[in-house]
Amino acid sequence: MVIDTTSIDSTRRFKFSSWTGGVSRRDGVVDFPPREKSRRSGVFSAFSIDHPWPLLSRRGIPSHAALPFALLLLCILSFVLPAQAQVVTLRGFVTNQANGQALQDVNVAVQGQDGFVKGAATNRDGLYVIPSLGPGRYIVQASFVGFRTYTDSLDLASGEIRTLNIALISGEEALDEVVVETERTSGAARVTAGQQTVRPRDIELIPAPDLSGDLVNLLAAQPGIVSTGDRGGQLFIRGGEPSQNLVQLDGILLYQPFHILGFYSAFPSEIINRADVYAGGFGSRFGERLSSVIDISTRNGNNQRFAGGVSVSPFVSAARLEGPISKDRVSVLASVRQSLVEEGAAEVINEPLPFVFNDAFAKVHANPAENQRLSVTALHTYDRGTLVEDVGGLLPEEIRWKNRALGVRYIVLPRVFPVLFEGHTSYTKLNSDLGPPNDPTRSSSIENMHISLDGTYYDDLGDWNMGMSLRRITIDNELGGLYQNVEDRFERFVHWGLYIEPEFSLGEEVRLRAGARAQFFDVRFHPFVEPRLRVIWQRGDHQVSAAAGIYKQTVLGLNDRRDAASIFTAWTNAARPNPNIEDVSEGRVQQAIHFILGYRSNPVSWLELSTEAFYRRLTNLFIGEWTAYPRFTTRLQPGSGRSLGFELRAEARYGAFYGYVTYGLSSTRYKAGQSQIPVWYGQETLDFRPPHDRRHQLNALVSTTIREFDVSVRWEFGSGLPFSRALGFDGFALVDDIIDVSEVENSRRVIYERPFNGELPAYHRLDVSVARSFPVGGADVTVQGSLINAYDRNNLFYLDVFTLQRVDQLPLVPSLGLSVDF
Amino acid sequence: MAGGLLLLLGGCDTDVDAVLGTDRVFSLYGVITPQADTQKVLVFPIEGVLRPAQAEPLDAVFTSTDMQTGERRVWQESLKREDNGQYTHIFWSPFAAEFGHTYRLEVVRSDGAMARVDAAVPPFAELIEQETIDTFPVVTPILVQGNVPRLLKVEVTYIFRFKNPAAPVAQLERFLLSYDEEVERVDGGWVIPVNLSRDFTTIRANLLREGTFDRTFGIRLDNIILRLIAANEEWDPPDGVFEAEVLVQPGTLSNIEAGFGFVGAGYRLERSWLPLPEIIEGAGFTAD
Repeated sequence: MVIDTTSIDSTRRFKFSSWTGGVSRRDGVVDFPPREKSRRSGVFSAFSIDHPWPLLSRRGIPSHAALPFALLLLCILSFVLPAQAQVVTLRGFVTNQANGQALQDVNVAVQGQDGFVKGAATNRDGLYVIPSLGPGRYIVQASFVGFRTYTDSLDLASGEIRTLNIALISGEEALDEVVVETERTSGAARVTAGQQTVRPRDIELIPAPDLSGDLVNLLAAQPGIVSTGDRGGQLFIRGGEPSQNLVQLDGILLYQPFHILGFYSAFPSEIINRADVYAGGFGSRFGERLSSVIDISTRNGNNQRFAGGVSVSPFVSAARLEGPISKDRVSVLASVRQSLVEEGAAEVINEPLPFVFNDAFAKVHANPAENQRLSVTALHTYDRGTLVEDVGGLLPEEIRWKNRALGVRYIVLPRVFPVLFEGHTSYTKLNSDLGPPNDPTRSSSIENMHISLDGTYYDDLGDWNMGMSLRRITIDNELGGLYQNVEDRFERFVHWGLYIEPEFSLGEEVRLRAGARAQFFDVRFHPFVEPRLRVIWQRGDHQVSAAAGIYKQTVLGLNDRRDAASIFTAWTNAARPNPNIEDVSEGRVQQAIHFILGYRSNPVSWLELSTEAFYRRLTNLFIGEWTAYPRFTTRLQPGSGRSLGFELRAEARYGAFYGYVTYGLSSTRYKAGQSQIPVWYGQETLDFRPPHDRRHQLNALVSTTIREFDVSVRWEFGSGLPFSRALGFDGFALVDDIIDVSEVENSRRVIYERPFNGELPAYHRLDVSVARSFPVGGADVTVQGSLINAYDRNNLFYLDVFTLQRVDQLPLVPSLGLSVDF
Repeated sequence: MAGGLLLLLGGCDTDVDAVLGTDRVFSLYGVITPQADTQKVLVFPIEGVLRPAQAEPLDAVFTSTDMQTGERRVWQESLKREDNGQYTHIFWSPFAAEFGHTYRLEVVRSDGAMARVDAAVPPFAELIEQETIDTFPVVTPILVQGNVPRLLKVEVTYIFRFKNPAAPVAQLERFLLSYDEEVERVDGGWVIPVNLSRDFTTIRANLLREGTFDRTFGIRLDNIILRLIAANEEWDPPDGVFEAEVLVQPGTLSNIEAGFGFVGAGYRLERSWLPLPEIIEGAGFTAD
């Protein structure tokens, strides 16, 4: 039996196809699949798409009906429910009995007395929904890798909506039973139309300087994702800027969650349930961002017993505690980390590493009733550091930022409707400042209040998803002078959006998700409509996927990208039309159009190959103006751009061996429309490579276990990034009159070549880690040794073209980490 | 073998050619003018690193040669400390430039590298008021008599009084209008047609926009001043506009051989006059 759970979020239904051995179609009559170990032998194939949302159906509901549908879910229910009066729906949550964790991708199937079979796979909340059953007696099975298959029988009455929660027992505790293996849903090569699912285990395979695995290490190793290296905490995804990425934790938007030291973010693997990374082509559920989505779900605390762990290394110390507040019903998970870089790693390498960061996470999860789930998530992060070194007696500027976030998420399965409702509200705030701690030269804060309501209606046609989102954003900038086009500005505005996005099957092999988002920005009254489309065709071990969409964004993160060390971000919003204010962003909404085409295959059972090509067209961008003045605060100029490329991934799993190789080739070009360009270069616009345009990326990872030692080795390579080369430096005085040059102002000047015409050296690094665990008393003790930058490559982080001062990334750093888990 | 691979990888080039360098040696800024007793030029060395100028003489010898007379002068250097603590090198020589003469300025480094510019001072010219056309529109042509290659910053300033309705007395005001686009080349020079009627309309509209204009008092014209720069041919910014953000780009306005920067040559011309009362009133102004 093959249960190909390509997908990601949301409850999915099996689509029975190519079942060898007396199988049915979806509505056919089949033999119930035997309870036996099954792995990729092709019994039934259930592939689906993340976040299925309703829009189109076989019944021909037109796309322009999206808005009415999204306005109220009841509009649908009022039409559909009468037809549903006699049908039965089975739904519920599947958990791990040992700790109460929601289990995702569990296959739940029912078999009627007439042999009719229907099934669904659980989503990230462990939720499954099997709609449109007839009344009668059914056998229910829930199977999942490593767990004993659950079997029960049910009598379902006409019109009944039954909630059946299932707690699976792990296979280790039920050795006498046959356990089921299902196909994995994550991995380096498992990419579908720009989307990749990340599990904690994937993260922990990446060598890191301590035992606290972190999502950012995995992200930075992906083709198409360019990071600023081991300092700075900035990710550029498929040509997009960091401020164009939507990063959310349990639905809470986070603006700058990556720590100043590039190995760390607010997302240690030990709190993650799964992360869905959409490098592009994301669905209508997500809005207000141009480039990508990193959607992280945290796991729940253990609701059966208390557990925890502590770890320490020269880079960071961490502690985790989880346990039941009320057994079976309420749990808590808390995690804190504190950097030890200044005290530890800096001493090890005998170089100053002026970085301080910490983060604290807590989540309370409750099961108020069998059909409800409630969670409260809180996060706090802090970063402080200096990215450049002391140059010429001038003290380098210190940057600080702080995230605070609180969110509440509520899921309910109404007793009378075959519907899932998800309500979410959150508050998040980012404070950033630059300069002396007590008297910053620049500061920027962005605050976000968010409420959303999502609903999914399940029937045989598909999963009908829709929702609305309301966001109030407050921005307060004190920039001590002109920074880009912004000085001191307080802004408060509201963005809201509606979406509708059904997911359904076309024939046996095609799964389609077509959606639209109506996004209301404050720059104009009427909405921006953003259509999205995602298609997956699968036959056997071959899958072709494609995605496309239009994306809009008005919130701008302003940096000076001429300077990699300048990670201070001033947030602002595209200016509303105002005849009294001249602003290049006035009324302009940044737009991206994405196209993605991918292919994935398993030529042999231990090997997975995938490739993906992408193209993005970017309009209404805002780019820092060029100037020969040696300064980093400039005005903005309008721009456009495009990004294209392809990625190749090969992933192998053979016994204890795991490895992958990924390669990305991409090209990003911006076109600037600064008014002086015709004078300077004799052409209307200037086409150039932005400073994050990394052409080639190669990543290789090997992980295995040798005599109880877990060994991971990773090598990464990135070709050089563009930068603006200079011919030299002189001075400038404006000769606009019969001047006395001893009286006029003058300034120093950079004699640039054309912008970004140079290329920095290539980046490559080898990281190695070896770890071993020992049982000590009732605890597991793990010791890890690691080498970061094992061959001590001088990878450039920052080059000050004015002074030729260079700052390199971390040299060879040996590290020893220890963790105790109980 | 593994060690060899590591050595290979670690030994790859990590150097950066951030500054390519140039064979240009100096950047010069200044104006050669007959209206100053001392000529001054600001000189920046073109360097490979941006660093504060040192408080020591520049490795350079600055000379000027009058191409008409052959007179050669060696200029002196002064260090000027700017408000920001930086030093700039100013070379100067105590002479007044001659009208119509061309001066070759050369800055030579000790290794022989040299930047050079020829600054041609325009011939003498004067402003001559011509007969006013007193039918509408009232225009007073001003002739720039002399073979001046280029006129820059042609500005007409009206000095007048007007009365704010709430104020007990009239107040004096100046209003400047650019005539850069109005100049016409004619035999023997240029003509600047000062359009009093149109300028009156502009001034009145501006006062009305500010809401401070007593119409019964009118706009009492006290004086008109025309100012301009008689400039050499090379003194020609893109689109005729002196905008620092544009001109700061090296090479945008430059006439230095083997260097950057700009040294102009020219002088100021100015004429003020008060038209006859009937011309003033014909243009719409009020005459005392």
